[in-house]
Amino acid sequence: MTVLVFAYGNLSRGDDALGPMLLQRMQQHPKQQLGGHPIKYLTDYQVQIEHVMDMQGCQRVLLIDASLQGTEPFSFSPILPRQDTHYTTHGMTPATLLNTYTTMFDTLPPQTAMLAIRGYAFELGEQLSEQAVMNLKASFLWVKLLMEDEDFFRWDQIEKIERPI
Amino acid sequence: MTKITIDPISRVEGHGKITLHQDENQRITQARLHISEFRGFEKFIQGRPYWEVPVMVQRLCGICPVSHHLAAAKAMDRLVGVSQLTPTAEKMRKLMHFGQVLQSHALHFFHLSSPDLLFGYDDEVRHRNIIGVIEDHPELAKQGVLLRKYGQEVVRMTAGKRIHGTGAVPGGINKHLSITERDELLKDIDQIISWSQNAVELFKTIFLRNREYHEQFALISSNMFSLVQADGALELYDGGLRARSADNALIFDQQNPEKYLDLIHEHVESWSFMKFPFIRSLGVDKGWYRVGPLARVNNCDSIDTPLAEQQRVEFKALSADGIVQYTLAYHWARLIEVLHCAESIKQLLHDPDLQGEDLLVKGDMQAVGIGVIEAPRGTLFHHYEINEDGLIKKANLIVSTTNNNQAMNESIRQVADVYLDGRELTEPLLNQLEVTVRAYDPCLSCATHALGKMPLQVDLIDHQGHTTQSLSKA
Repeated sequence: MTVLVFAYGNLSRGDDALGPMLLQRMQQHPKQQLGGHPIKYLTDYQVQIEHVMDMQGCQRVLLIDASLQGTEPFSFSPILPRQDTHYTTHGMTPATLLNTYTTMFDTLPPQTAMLAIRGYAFELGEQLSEQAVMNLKASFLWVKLLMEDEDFFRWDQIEKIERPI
Repeated sequence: MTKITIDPISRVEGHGKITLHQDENQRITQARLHISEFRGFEKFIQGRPYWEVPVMVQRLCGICPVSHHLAAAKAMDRLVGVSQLTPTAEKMRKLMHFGQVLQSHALHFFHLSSPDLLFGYDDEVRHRNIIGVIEDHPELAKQGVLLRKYGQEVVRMTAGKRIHGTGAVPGGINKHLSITERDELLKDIDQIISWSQNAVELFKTIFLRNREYHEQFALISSNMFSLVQADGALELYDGGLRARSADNALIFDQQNPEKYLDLIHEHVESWSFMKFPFIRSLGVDKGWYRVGPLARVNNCDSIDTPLAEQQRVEFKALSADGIVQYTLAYHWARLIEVLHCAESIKQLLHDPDLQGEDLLVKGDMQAVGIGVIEAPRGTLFHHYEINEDGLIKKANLIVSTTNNNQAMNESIRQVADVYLDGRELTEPLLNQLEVTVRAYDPCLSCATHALGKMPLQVDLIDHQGHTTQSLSKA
């Protein structure tokens, strides 16, 4: 079974590119696995309902996004299904995505974690901010450890702590 | 004056916010929906080669990138001196657009407005009735996902990619639809049409069950603005501009979209970054209008697919004077368009032109290119000027949400008048305002999608500037 790595954000909106840029770095790493399972990559602008189809049949899911208010340089935390009401069609929360999965397939979704990389500036046409570049490097160092692990021990240890690192 | 400020859930700065202004007698005097203007695109586009624009503009907005892609491609057609595409190119673009509108509308109804129908009202009896309707259709959420997925497959096969597609290029298209792709899409299309038809019927049931309430909710009277075909039929990709007054008289018809600046003008208010377009001949006060599904289905004389046309006739019969002004009827019109898109996709898939090899037309370079399209939320204008090196020197975009700006304010004010005036703020009352805005589904500054959300917050501030009540919707 594969592990889905789903990074979302807009490459042309400053630090919103953090997720897709980390995914690009992961794709260049020689060891293409997470917890000993092959990786399936996915990028999009935002989380939407159809992504439950991409999660189907996966061992685990790693979501990667930029975080406007999160911990520096990044946080890693479990996501559980929860239904939110939306204000517009402009994306949905990861928790609601998992809830949609449950509704759709009448079963619990794959174990899912969120890697949230701290970003600062999200203007159209801007490059990554200096601090975001540093946070990207830090997050990649962390993800490389996950990719080199032969099991989910490190992933699970963090999830047991249930707090941002 | 008392001011109630509502900060809706949003992920980044530039989100929408509602301020309700009350006088000392607690009467609503004004409602303002604050949405940051669609900004920064000029800088983003300027200096770029024109041929890059249809791809670049998809990064303006992650919500409807295909609409920007196609509007820009239409503008680029004019820049390269092309006014008529090959049949293959024209039909491939239309197929892409039908896929885009289908998936966008499906998301809106099945996963956005359906919860509104469940939770958006504070009348317990009505609430229970609606829940009962939804409980009879537990498969709704699943159908929504699959409808959206289908629309995205249409986009992928016509644009070449799921996101950042490159299908439409200046003067045409860069691929046709293979037989394999066609057959893949044909496999499910009858199911898609069936689900679309069921969705219209379901909404009709919900709407008519509490007809008076739904008709009166956020009711305003506005002009309607959209593209139509040469014979007046519903049109999403191309056509002439038509505007209809609130009393159902044509203001103008079959106007060349490239002359849009002769028809509309943009007014500025000091409190908003977003402009307020209006029909020039009617002036600022009377010239504001609505765009999007409600305007399109009202504006057209017919729909050229049979099942959607049946639904349109029934929809139009809602109003004795032939123009449906009910704001919640946006959802109904949206679902009629879903059905139309599904039927149109089926028709196109049986058209052998999609497998044609003649993809591009060339012409003589021009300095100005304007492309207008009916995006899911309404009319979208792209206007570019290039220099002698083919680099963009000027760009002007008017997005659907800007076109609906004044109408949204008017609808919010109407709801506030009825439900908030003089009453204590409660969460169900806030929901009423959200339901109103959601009917239009505004684009919130084509927002980025960083984590972090701001809870819905309401501040009640008295005429002396003191906060007397605060509500937070966590």
